[in-house]
Amino acid sequence: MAYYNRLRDQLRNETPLPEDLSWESMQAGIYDKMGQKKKKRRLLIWWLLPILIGGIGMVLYFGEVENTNLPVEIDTQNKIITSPISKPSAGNSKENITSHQSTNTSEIDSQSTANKTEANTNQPIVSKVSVRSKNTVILAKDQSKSFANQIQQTEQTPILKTDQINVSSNPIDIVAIENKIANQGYSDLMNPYAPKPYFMIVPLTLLFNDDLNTLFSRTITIPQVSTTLPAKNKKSEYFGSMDLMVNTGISFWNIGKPATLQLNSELHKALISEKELPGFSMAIRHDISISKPFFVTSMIDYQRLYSIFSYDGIKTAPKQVDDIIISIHDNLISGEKTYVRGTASVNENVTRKLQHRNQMVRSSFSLLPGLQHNVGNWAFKVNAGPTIGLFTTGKGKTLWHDEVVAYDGDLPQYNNSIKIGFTSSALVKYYVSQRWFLHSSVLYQKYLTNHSADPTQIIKPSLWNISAGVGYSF
Amino acid sequence: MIDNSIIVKCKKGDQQAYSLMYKSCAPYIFTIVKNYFCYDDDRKDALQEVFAQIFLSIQQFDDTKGSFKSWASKLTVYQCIAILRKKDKLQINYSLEVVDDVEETALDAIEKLSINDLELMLKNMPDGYRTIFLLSVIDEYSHKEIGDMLGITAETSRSQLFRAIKWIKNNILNKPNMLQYGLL
Repeated sequence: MAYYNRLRDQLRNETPLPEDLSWESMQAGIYDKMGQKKKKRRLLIWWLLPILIGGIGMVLYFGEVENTNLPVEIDTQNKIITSPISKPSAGNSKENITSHQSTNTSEIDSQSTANKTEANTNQPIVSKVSVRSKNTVILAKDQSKSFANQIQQTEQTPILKTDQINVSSNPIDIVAIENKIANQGYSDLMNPYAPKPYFMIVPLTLLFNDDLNTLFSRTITIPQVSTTLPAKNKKSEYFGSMDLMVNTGISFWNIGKPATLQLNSELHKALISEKELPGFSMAIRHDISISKPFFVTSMIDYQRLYSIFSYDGIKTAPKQVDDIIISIHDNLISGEKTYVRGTASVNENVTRKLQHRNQMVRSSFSLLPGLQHNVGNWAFKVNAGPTIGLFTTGKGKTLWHDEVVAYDGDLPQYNNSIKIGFTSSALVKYYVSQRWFLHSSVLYQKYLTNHSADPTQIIKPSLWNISAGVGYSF
Repeated sequence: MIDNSIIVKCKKGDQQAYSLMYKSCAPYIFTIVKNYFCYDDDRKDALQEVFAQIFLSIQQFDDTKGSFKSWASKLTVYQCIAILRKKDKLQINYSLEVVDDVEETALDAIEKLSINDLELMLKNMPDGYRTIFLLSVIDEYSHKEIGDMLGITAETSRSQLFRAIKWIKNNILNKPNMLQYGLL
């Protein structure tokens, strides 16, 4: 290697730079190329951006298709694998490979048992070996006339002279063969120099053996094999199936009536307000997939909502007072005083200022059809539909018939009719295991029927809810 | 090879530093470039490409991972291959022929040539063969590395080297040429 070391040294030996390659003559070209390369980089970024967007779009679009991966089925119904088992009567062993075909079917086949008429049960021999599978080459053999007779003889009595092995109980073998074929690239299989799967080589090796007397044949009949392989991604099987979820979250609500009320009558002057406070909610949600991507949610939710009730007013109440001295008669001559008693009416002004924390409990049932979309471990759902208010109770104080009243149970100003509303929600869930997932949702609920017992007043509450929880896919 | 302060200035885009770096590194870079390209125009173009790439990529140079010389020489080789590819001069003849251990014996055969003659011969070699020969024998890249660079398998690289040597034997070590080069 000393020669190559010397060669290496010589080729790497620094030589003075030619005059025309000096910095002065090169810098313009270098800066020009730097500009071109920068431009290319910028162009590359602008090319990558739409590709990235397109890629995300494709993932979103085809993600769903991917998630519909059904279990792989291999059906080898009525397929017979034949290999030589019995001694031939004649030693005609010269055979040639006459045809190379390619097919896209996925089966293992032999034609040795079809439509044969002559009978010679003693000397069966393989007539044709063809292994057809995905992207494989079929190697078929041509028989001479005398050899064909032998074939017919063989195939006439497959039951008596061949072993029939039902391999339906062991489908793994079939699967293994299928996988080997699938793993073989098309070009490799078309290339005569490329290594062949063993099952393509071995039967031919046997058939090229000069001494066919040494060959043995076995017929394997597979009446019906239906093998189901587990799907690649089990998670995707459960995307969009039946989900049971529990969640809890924060609710922001609107009472659905004016926040403040000012009374300015002769007897009652007051400023009343009720300001909503955040509450919380809990829900049990059950999603059933109808057909992808549609599903229906049935949900029962329980909401505990709070508000601050404020009252600041003066109430004037006429009051009748009995048996009070209403006049005094003073006799100036006699000096006698007479007290006249009677009933009188006086105005009593009551000033009241209070602030009370109210609590309202509401439960509702919603039936929400919607759409879902799956991307990897993520699933996105949007749905909307009707809601029925099951019950509403509360505890607190409110103004009712010009009076501040306390309640514990039914709200004084609410009617008892069924409350119907509308709910929409958006949910995202992430599978942490094959069946368990975490989810988060945003929900909007608006009641469409009037809650108020007073027909002159309209109360249509609405609610925003942000929640998170866990779920289980069945 | 080059002062670290110049590299720092180059990283900041100092054009004066570019000039100093070019003057310092160009002779060495040129020795690599001239092996891959035969014509002066090609060499000049390649040298400009290489330095443009060096100036643009110098931010990525980390002196803790190796010397500037080795970084620059590797970048030069990659750039030369990129130019050859761009000009469609790297025509790798993909063959399924598997060459196991023929290099040593084949290489022995061309040792009869003087260094100067072999250098001259290399200029006449097809670009694909010369590239593989240079990468493997002169720049001492492994076949796996060459395969990665050229987008071929290690076996194809090995096979190409065998073919390059075979080409030398067939085209240079034939009788007329050997007479011409005084080998007979």
